[in-house]
Amino acid sequence: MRNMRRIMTAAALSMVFGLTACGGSDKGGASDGGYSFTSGSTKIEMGADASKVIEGLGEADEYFESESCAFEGLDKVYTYPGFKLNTYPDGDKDYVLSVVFMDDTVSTDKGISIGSTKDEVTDAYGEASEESAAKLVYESGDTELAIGLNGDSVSSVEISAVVEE
Amino acid sequence: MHKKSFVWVFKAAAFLAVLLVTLFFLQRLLMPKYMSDIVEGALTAEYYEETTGHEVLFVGDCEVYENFSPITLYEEYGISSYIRGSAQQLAWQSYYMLEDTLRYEMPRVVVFNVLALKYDEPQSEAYNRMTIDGMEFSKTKLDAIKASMTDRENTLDYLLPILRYHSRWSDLSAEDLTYMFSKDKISHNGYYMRVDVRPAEGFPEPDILADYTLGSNAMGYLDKMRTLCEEKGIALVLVKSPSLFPHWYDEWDEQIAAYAAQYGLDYFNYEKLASEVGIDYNTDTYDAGLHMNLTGAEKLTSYFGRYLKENYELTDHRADPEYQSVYAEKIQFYDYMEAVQRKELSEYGEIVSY
Repeated sequence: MRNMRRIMTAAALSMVFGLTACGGSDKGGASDGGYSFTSGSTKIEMGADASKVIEGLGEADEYFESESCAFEGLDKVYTYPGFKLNTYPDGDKDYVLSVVFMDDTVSTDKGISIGSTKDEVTDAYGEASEESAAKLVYESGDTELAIGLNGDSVSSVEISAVVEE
Repeated sequence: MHKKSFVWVFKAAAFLAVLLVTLFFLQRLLMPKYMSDIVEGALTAEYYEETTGHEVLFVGDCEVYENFSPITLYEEYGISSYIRGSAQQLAWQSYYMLEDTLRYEMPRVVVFNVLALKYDEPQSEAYNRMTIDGMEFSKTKLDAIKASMTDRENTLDYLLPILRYHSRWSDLSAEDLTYMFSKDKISHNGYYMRVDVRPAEGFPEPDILADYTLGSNAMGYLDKMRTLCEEKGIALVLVKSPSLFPHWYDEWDEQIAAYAAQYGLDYFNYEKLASEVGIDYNTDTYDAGLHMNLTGAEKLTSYFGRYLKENYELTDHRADPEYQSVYAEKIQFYDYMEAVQRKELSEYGEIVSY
């Protein structure tokens, strides 16, 4: 009978501990060693606290915000010369989601811009994690570099944090 | 000895029963209720409370559940319809929502909003939960879970939600007790009503994408939807609601138009038809052009209803006593919610209860 009680107690405790062992949350935070983008003297790391980045970049040419489908908080888009900076909310803070090149006046930290050749991309970044006729995708840490191709020429560049929005 | 064994088994069974009942109650307590906040999470489960059938079924994301009003379809055309949509409902989730609906009824027309085809892989656990947790258990739900999970999720957490939600104990509120076993109705046959107005302003220039081809996974589920509808003799109609953001690229539009042409489906892009529908983006949207408000949804529904009436043999249920009775209650709730929202808007300058 004593054994029976021990078994039941152990079962109950294992359920309780089993239920409390997992959990954890995915808060925003700059991605270590991932792709980043530098504008002037401001280095933009994906997943970084957006307020500090915006402060460094100065006033945007355009600003747009939109509510997400259901959640509180706003997805924000800051347009600067040559690129757009997208942020996402997490709790009471905004974090950098992505940088999207809008013309050929800006380039990646390794010198790739819209209009570069595919060879220049592979020389700079090596073999892509994913490759098709239309794009090359590179992954590093929790970041991604997506390069669109129009024939042999780069047509788009997006550096983004890999997060669950 | 036999008696001792029997007593041991009885006590073990009793213990197990108490443990399971306790876990069941804890699970009901800890699961999000989606009543006073993020009410969109309650949409999926509401469908199972319906008592009458629906000849038109809408599936999709917020571009269906905020932009079409089944009550208007009934009032103006006698058409019975339901929206099985939820926040960021992805293409595979719409497919399984259709499959789930077919377990209960056989609509004549299925309307799918194509915006979600821009996503080719699972996006967010939070949105997955809002879509899937409310589904009744079935093989379809299991398949929906498998198709939807992000890398960090696992099936067991969906089957036993207490494993995922146990950490909510510190966030519990009175709402969790109030709505432990029953919830308030928040939609009108799946339609989420908003009466406030926020005119559309400017939008950022659309991103230059690496690849404008709609993903094979998402398009594969569109194809599964089409095939399922064909097998069941259901007409499939594709629509793009007149929401202005996120941007719907011409390249995407062309792919959907080509797909529709290939299989003889009707496809309507209401962004392009907005002026014909009568949408005024200064008055018919509550969030600057992302979603329609009540007047916008009613205009779109009225326009789309005419197409449905003229092209499909749909029953006018307004003369059916059963539907009259059910819809009298639904219309009363619809009018009541509109009145409450308008009152709140005039008193507080915003809607606070919905």
